[in-house]
Amino acid sequence: MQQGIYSDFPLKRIFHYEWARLWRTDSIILSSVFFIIVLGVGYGSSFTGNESAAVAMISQGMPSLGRLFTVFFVILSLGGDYSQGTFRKRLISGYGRVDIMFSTFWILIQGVILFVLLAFIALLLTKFVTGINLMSYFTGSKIMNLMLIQLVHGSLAVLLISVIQRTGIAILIYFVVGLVEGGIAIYFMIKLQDPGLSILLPLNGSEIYASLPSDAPFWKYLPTPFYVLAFFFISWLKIKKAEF
Amino acid sequence: MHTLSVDNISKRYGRELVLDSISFSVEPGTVLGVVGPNGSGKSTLFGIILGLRASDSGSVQLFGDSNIQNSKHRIGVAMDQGSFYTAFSARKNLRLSSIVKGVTNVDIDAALQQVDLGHTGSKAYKKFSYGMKKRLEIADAMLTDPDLYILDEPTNGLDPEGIVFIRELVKKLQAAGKTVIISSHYLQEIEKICTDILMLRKGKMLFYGKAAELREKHGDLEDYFLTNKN
Repeated sequence: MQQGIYSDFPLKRIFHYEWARLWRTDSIILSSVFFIIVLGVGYGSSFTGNESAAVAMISQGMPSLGRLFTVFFVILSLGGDYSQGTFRKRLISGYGRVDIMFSTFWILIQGVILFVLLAFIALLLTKFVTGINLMSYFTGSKIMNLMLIQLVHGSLAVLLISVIQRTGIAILIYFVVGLVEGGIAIYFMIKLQDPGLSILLPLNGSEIYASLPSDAPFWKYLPTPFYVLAFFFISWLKIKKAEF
Repeated sequence: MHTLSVDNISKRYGRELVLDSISFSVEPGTVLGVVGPNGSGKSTLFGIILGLRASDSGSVQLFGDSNIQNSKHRIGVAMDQGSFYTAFSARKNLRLSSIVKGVTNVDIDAALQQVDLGHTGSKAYKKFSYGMKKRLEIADAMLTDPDLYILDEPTNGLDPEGIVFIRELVKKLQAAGKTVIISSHYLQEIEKICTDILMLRKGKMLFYGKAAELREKHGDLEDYFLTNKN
């Protein structure tokens, strides 16, 4: 495969391209809005008056914000590629379909990292303004859990936009999936008296998965990775067969 | 070695046969006009040549290689529908395109000046006129000085000045020894600039050969096209 100056390391072309187009209006607006929201949540949590209560509040809110940011980021980025024909342009100009898949995956990783960076800066600012140290939220395990939840929701977003190729409808279906899952989770909790069964669900399951104790039965570790792999595999099948 | 060889390509969408056993080959330095009315299969044929769509049967070779991916760096394509980021400027769009093509050291400003878009600055692509969008497609196609140009309906919707620009461009490319494949439904325009003609109707190949041969045997291209309606 001929890739000019990138022939020594083809993935560098994808990183270079995605970095160059990251700075577009929709991603800047989205990042700004979420930065302000995290700032607000951080500032609001400072009213609890002590660090541990504030960090507990942040820990509750951050996964919801992180997954929403990632889903919007992924769907807006990829939806733009489909609607503006830029995937087609890239396929004509030198990308293969595998490169399109790697690009898609890299956009998800960008979304995950970008939110963690935004949250870091916003909470650092909050610390200077309020004097309450919210930076203790950034422990290894909390960040890993946050990123895992973002990854699962983001991979569903990748699947939806790859299949539907329409930004608005993909976002709508994401929320519908969330609602349906919520209903099933309530059924597990009330009718079956076993809320732990929610680990079998793709989205709700990821949050349980993120906080599994180390002595949890082995099978509980399986559903979430399975869903992520399945979402990517189906997306790949779709991209491989798609007519651009 | 042929620049392009298309061998027995067929394509169906559902029950509709949009390309029916199309075969032709293009020699280096040829200007091939692909003509046919809307829905004749021109864009599907280009999509298959460029690897955007799969054919149901047959094969395509570019520069003697059936793996199209290996030849993409030797092809410059200007598609009919614009495929650029609407919020980015011409410059930024070409910069992104140069990354995909693996040639980030190209002179983007010179490329834009070639098609008279040097003045557009930070103006977003979505604010471009139709003619400007077409010219940006051409600039993108020329970015790597490729051997083969595929121009899909480049004169479609252009004013007379724009049409003359495309005509002159094709002449320049031909003089430089480049191979050009150009699709259009403006038969007179194609007659003026092409050395070879591929005529499609409802997915079938009506004629393929030298433009001069077509004129000699059948007279005017338009007459031939109209007398072979069914």
